[in-house]
Amino acid sequence: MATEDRRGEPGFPIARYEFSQQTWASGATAATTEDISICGTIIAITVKINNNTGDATLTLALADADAAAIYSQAAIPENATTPYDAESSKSTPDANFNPIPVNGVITGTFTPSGDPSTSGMTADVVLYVR
Amino acid sequence: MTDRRREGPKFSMATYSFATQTFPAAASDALAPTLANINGTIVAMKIDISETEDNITYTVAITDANAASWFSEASLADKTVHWRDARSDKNPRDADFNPIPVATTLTCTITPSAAPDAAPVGTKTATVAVTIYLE
Repeated sequence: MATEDRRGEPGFPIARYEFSQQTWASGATAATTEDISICGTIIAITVKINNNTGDATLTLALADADAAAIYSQAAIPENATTPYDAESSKSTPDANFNPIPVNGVITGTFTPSGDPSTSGMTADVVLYVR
Repeated sequence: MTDRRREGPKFSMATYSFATQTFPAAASDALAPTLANINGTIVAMKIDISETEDNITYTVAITDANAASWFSEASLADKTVHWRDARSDKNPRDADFNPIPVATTLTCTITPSAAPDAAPVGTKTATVAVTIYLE
């Protein structure tokens, strides 16, 4: 899937913004960054990480153009697609973060916890925006 | 200012910035920029404070045209971009302030705790930039 923003059309209230797949080869541990431009409120984030032989997890951080830290989540597990939600109603699972207002470029920083070893590591991050 | 809300739901968030304020090295007077014709709900705020020689802090307050005080926070550190949000659902980090409805002029009063570079007197000025996020 890819970025899709059809909020201008009736019946499509949620936009999906996807960073390109982040990859790390065996031995690579450096953080990667990517910019994305969004107008709206981030209400959910999903992070998919492959099953890597080094059992590396991911730290995801989002910052705006002024380097304001607007989101950070560490220890995102490998071998899973993990949803993080900003909305919660009574008696459901708690929200994971506060809704994030954005209007312009934000920077995603993707930091593996360590060497993913022979399999390498991939991370697919999707932002859901209202 | 970036406000395209009239163009539809793809542009649901607007940002307005008060003019960046520059504080003289040896003065500690408050400065109070205004924004006119603001309409919407403030759901977040960003306060970008430059490094100061004397590591002073700031108080930032938002009032409307009737002097109603909607937001005030003291002891904001220098060399930091402070992010404050108005929305929090069940059990993540608490919101920092309540959503602020606005249909008027806003005044942002920025008060330094001391002169930015006065001990001893120097020449390094300091800046504070405040941006509001509106729905």
